Amino acid sequence: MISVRELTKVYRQPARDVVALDNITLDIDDGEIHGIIGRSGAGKSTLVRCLTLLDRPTNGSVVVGSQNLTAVSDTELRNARRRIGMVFQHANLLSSRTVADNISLPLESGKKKKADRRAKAKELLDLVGLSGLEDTYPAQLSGGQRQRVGIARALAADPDVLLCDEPTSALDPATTDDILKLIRAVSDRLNLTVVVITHEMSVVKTLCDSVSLLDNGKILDFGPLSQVAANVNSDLSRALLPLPTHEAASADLVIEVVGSQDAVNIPIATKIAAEHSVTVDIAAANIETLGDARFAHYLLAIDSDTQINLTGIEATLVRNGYSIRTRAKEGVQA
Amino acid sequence: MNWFEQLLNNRALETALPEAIWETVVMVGISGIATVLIGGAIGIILHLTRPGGLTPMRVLYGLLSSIVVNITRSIPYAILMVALIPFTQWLVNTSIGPIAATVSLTIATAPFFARLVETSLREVPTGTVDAAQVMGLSNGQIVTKVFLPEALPGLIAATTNTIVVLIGYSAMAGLIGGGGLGRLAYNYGYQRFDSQIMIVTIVVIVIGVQLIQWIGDKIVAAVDHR
Repeated sequence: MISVRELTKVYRQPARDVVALDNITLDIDDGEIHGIIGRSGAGKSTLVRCLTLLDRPTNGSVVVGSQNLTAVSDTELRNARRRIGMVFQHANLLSSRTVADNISLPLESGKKKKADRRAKAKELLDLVGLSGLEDTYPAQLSGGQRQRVGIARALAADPDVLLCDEPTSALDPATTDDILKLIRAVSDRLNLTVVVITHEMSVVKTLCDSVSLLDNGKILDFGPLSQVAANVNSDLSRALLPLPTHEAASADLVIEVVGSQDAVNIPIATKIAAEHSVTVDIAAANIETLGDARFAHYLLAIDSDTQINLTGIEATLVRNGYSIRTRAKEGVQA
Repeated sequence: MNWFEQLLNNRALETALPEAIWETVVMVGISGIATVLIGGAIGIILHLTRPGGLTPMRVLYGLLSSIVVNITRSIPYAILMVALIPFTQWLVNTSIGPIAATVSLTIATAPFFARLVETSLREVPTGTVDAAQVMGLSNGQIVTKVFLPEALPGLIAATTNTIVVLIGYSAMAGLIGGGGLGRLAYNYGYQRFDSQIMIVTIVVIVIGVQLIQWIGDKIVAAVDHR
């Protein structure tokens, strides 16, 4: 549905050129909810502006559906943009218009009659759970309600793609949950492809099917949530399944492991202890459900009176479906 | 006869005051409409063409901003109205009377109004403009559906201010043949030492300005949904 190729954006400044996006390539499938996570300054905002062509990329292409947005004229671009609904951090509603008029604004450039537009606005307000608020003004609504109106407006022109730029960053945790559930619900119901740009890992955890890690203008990690989380060597995995603070440095051998699905049910510490006659202490652990899969992230501290068979232990872990990252203490032989 | 009886029997007041009020209304009315149209258009163009605007155009913005707006605003009205006499003569075939005065009044206040419009438009959050662009609205639609309605409270306040300034300028224009309340106060109050006319003129102008400000504030409150 969305295919980004070698997207580069350079801001030319008098003193030096700032590379905000560096050769971004990204594919997002139909009906998928894709999260792009990064800290501030990573290039998230620039990426959003380039995806909608609010800023012209310096290089590369953005293809939505079958249309290359970077190659069309301004008029065609305006039409193409109607296939993208966008949700902003601060909703960006017009204060001079009622809720219904805000929602029907994207339809005003089309041929729809006023009564039809009003009917569409009402239908969308029902969908986002704000029935009966047609004639109120945005200033009378709470932040969460405003964001619901923002979502309704984004859906007005029946888009194929919903682009959400930090949709919950200005909301409290409870409202954040409600809005994320709403985005999930509308995307399932209308079969939308959704891109969510965020700095909050919890948004990715609760909402996304797949995820990209954006840092310093580059995509460092990319993939389906379950796949990315299951790889203990990925930065995203450690961010998705954070370990509590721990103290394991004194053990002979420290191995960090992540297992998913069936592997979670295996008593892995006992198994290693029995098979390799060592003592295994779980120094830190985090077991979580992401999407519909369970994940276990352990820090195993292994001690023994005799020589430790590192290769054997690693083989046992891998055989049981664990992804491993060995942090051996000095002196332990591989 | 006490002061009030004198006031009621003042013949000049009876005949000249209504005429002067009407002339002022004509001057302020016509130049007010012209100012809003011309100054409004310049203000919108300034906002759209400024660096970082919707359609940045360096040369046009520089031309309008520095030459038209800033130079015109820096000339005191008392000088501008005299300097414009030949132009007025050419444009409306006369240089005296309320209609002639509207030419210099419009030229003096339109740039002032344009700056106020530009400032009001700048207060429209850029996020709403981004949203409109992503929705696929054209630049013309963004002006009529986003910029103007969102800035409306500020634009109306700017119009109120401009009308008040116009009333002040129109009194000055009265001195060189514009007519109106300025002329009345000058001819009767100053040259004929008729302090009653002077006081009445001041009262009329103060009430007029109060009224316009009050109406302006009411309209702003009615259209402001922020």
